[in-house]
Amino acid sequence: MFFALVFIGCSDSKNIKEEPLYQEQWAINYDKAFYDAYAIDENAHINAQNVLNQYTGKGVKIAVIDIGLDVNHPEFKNNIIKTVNSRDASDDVSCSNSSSCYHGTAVTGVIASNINGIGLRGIAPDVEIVFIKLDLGGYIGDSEILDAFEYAELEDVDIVNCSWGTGDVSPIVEERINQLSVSARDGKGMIFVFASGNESKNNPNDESMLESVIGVGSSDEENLRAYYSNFGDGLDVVAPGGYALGVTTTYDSNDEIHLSEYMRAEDYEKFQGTSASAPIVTGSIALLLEVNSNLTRIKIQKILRESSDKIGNIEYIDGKNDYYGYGKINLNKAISSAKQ
Amino acid sequence: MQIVKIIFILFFVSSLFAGQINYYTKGDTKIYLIKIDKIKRNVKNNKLIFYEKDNGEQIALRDTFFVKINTNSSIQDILKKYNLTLIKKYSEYNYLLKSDSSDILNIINQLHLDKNTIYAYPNFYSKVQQR
Repeated sequence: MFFALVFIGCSDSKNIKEEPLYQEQWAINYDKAFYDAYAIDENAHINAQNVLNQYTGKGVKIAVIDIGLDVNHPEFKNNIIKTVNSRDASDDVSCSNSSSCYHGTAVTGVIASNINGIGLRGIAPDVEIVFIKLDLGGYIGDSEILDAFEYAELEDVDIVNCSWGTGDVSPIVEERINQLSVSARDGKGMIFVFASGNESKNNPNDESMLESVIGVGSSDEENLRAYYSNFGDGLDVVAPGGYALGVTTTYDSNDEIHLSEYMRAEDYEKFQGTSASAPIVTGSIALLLEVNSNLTRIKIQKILRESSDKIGNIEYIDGKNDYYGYGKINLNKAISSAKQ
Repeated sequence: MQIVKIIFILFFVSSLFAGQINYYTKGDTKIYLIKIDKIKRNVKNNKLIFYEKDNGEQIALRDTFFVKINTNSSIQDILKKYNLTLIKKYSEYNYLLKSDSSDILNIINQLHLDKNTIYAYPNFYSKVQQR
């Protein structure tokens, strides 16, 4: 009852205000009542509010490579332009026999949830989604990972979101990522976003640490590096991944146990970790590309690095350190840079 | 952790005596593996043979591997020389190949040292987790 009284929306945007869960989307929305109620640092968000009023990711194509997707979820079913199962090339991207089947739906919801008044606001609600299923959690061959990238290339996507990683990237996968990040998008480079992982360890051989990849760690409600967030020399940026709170997003609508179509910030089973941070960055990049579709992968990386906020109490040397990369993304500043 | 290392060393020494040294090469580093008594089939019904790294991580191999050839080399010559099958061409120089040999790592290591290749590398199957 207390929270119901406190959480009266006070967002700036007419459209966004109508989303009933927008108030608790603390990663992208500073709502003073919610922030105060959960003692969230006032700077824990990514400075997105003004940007979200103006941009929606229109004209940008994103591949989400993940375990499975609820293709009928009302928050993003109209965004899905293609689904591919990398195992058998079929269009079946459903998931069963895993306690993590929700994962792809949660990632996609952070990026693309529509402005429709029924739930939450994705960072880039007008992007086109190509969903590519990989059997995460099981034994996956490097050849299957390459196949997934090939589907992304065939669909000519701009950004690839990978909220997973092997921890030990093989030479040919590394070579392929390097190649696509330069040659795809008519020479502007496909933008790979990889989550750095949640074991609080240095992860030097992971995909997320490649120079050609945007490696994403997590920040928490205190606007510090989340304790679990993997680190390393190749980390680019951090974005909210939560600790006590999760990142509010979508959940499979056909699940017989979890009856809600959403994962709320304060739920026991919350969407937390670098898997949640990566799509925040992916969605943000989509907005940068909407502003300026000619941005190369290298330029996008430069913008994100230079516009990020130097949070935390670890010294940044030449603008970076191993734990925060170049800092926490600041979408408002990044958009300003993209316009120049 | 210390116990795991000791067990790994014991396994490694015993495999030396048994004449079975399993390794692959990444860059210039040889990475040794212990073959473990575990064989599974994956969702595509491919037979996966399991190995363990010195950090305890289990990885699996099937009958395929990657090769990158030199610019002046012919993939056909390599296929013929090692009795291999071409599964997929990724680029002019990168291929996924298949061998019927029962000792796939040995084939990969031979190819890795072949003057016509830049590298040969296993098509490892590892547990990839969402984050």
